[in-house]
Amino acid sequence: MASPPPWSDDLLGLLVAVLDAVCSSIWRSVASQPPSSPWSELPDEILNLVMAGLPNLADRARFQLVCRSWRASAPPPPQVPWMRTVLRSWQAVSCPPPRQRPWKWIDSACRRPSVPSRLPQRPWIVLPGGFYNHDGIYTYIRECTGHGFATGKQECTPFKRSNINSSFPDSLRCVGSTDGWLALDYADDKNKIHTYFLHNPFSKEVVALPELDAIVGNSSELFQIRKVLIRSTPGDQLVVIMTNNWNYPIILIPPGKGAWLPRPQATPFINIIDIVLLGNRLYGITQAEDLFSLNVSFNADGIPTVTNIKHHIRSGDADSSVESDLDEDQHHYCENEEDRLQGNLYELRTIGDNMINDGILWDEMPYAPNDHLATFWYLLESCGKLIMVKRQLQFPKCCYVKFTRKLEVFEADFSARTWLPVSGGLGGQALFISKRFSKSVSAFGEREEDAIYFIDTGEVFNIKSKTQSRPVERSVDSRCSTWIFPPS
Amino acid sequence: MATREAGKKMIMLKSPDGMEFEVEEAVAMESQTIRKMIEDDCADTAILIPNINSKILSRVIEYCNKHVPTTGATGAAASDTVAPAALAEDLKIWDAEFIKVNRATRFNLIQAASYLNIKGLLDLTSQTTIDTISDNSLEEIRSFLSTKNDYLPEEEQTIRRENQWAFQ
Repeated sequence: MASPPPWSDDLLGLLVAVLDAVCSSIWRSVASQPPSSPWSELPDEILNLVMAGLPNLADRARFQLVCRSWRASAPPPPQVPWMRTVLRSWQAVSCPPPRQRPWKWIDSACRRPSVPSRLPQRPWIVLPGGFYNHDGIYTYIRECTGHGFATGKQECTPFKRSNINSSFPDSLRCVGSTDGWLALDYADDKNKIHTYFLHNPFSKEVVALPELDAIVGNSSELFQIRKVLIRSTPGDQLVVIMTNNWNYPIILIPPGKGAWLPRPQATPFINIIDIVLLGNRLYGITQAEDLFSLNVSFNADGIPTVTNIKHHIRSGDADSSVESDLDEDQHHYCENEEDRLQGNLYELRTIGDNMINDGILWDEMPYAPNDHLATFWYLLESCGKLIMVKRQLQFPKCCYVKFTRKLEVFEADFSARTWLPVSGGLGGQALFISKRFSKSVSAFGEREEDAIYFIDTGEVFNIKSKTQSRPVERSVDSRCSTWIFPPS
Repeated sequence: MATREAGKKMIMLKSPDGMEFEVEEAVAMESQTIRKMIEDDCADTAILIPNINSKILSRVIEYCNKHVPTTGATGAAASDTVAPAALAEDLKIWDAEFIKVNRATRFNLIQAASYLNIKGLLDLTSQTTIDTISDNSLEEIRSFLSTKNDYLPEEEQTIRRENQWAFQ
């Protein structure tokens, strides 16, 4: 989608002067005679149809400015009061003053030396509350905020911000990302109604998701979006949302067209803990390491539907069968959530929020009972192959720095219907891993070949040379931080 | 009611400039407006279609003719029946060719689709308008559609300020 050219002040001044002259003469005559173009007189129902087909809010704003009757006919576009703050915070982290650049080693690994003529190709870290500021000033937030973030009911301090420049407004949270797109959740202070948007800080596009608002906009504070995948082809977008509600664990939305939901509480959807889109197939893994794929097709109106669910890899381990996951893992949420769960379990089961586990398996260390051990699974695509990264993260009680204790990388073998350990290398790729978005990129410059970068610990593992870097202390959450990548 | 072949009811459509078009009832019933007239028995003789000249009406009939087989003779709504993928693809290509017309014709087609209530044609024509808007700047939209900017300069500036990010 081409974005309008930027306005230079000179051009704008000239244009306004010309418009002034033209419009004042038109305006004087407009009361007595109808406008000359028939397009101004399109019936409201058609204008509404056109408006509804414009998911990008910038397009809607331009639509309204075409002429008076177009603005009068169409409902006002949803307001984006957060837009300026977000643009400002993006500016603050993407172009910091030169003296504020004591890049740590992860920064140099993620960022190519800047070439003045083009955008530096580096992934950025986004926390739910704002862009991660690499200058050592952290944004503290409650881990993995769900819908409760704006309710003020939380017992723990929601967030304490020490760098206003890189933070979003209090009512705005990042709930996911894909490539250069952010998925944002805006909570209205009074009614706790949530409005969802896609925003691309590179192109400044904003896409409303009214279809998603209609499904989850009024959910309880336990509701969480786990992942948002966005497939952008020219003139066409498909958004895949994974949630923690078992009545709508996966939602497919082509913005402006409609939505598809599976039957409530249907398997395998409620067992899926990570997803990736490959062409028209959505792949998902369960905690038992089963691999499913769903074929996404579209009807004449562009509404998606899922056909042909395939079970590619079946885990042999009966103890970790997918069905048992749900009940067993409920007690792994943080304490106040657990209280609420016990308080009204029946109601929760009906509403369905938080009924799907977050795909993290918690354990205690046998010889260090105060330490916690968490197993994470990540699914991503690399050079057309499906890669599963399985990682054990240790949270020591004594000190803050968490670290990766064990790392395994597998590739899906569709003919043998099994996961094959990847030992040789990643074919020159570098994997950037986070729970909310993982991506394989070709390695060049200071991006190391065959390296796996973890967002939360800052660790880099080279699976070819079997080397690894030390973890760093930083406030980047393991569950809800994500990467965004500038367009290449 | 006009009849031609046994079993196939024909309907006569008249444009205000005096041209008459004989079409199959099933084709005419692609238009929900005409369908209602027929069902209400208001269509004994020719149906006069006001506001749509013969040139546009013939194009609308061409569209309905092309689209009628996929919806079946009973005239069920297009979304109720699943057309085979290849057929749907053919129709898409045909639609894309069909809508390659000048602005005035396209505008008249939107109006006709709206008046006659032909969902497919309405979607097709409004989609081209959507594409025009999403691919162009405000000034380009105005000039493509030859709409007059009837905002006062102060008003336009206020609206621009409110949505400044959309024009950057």
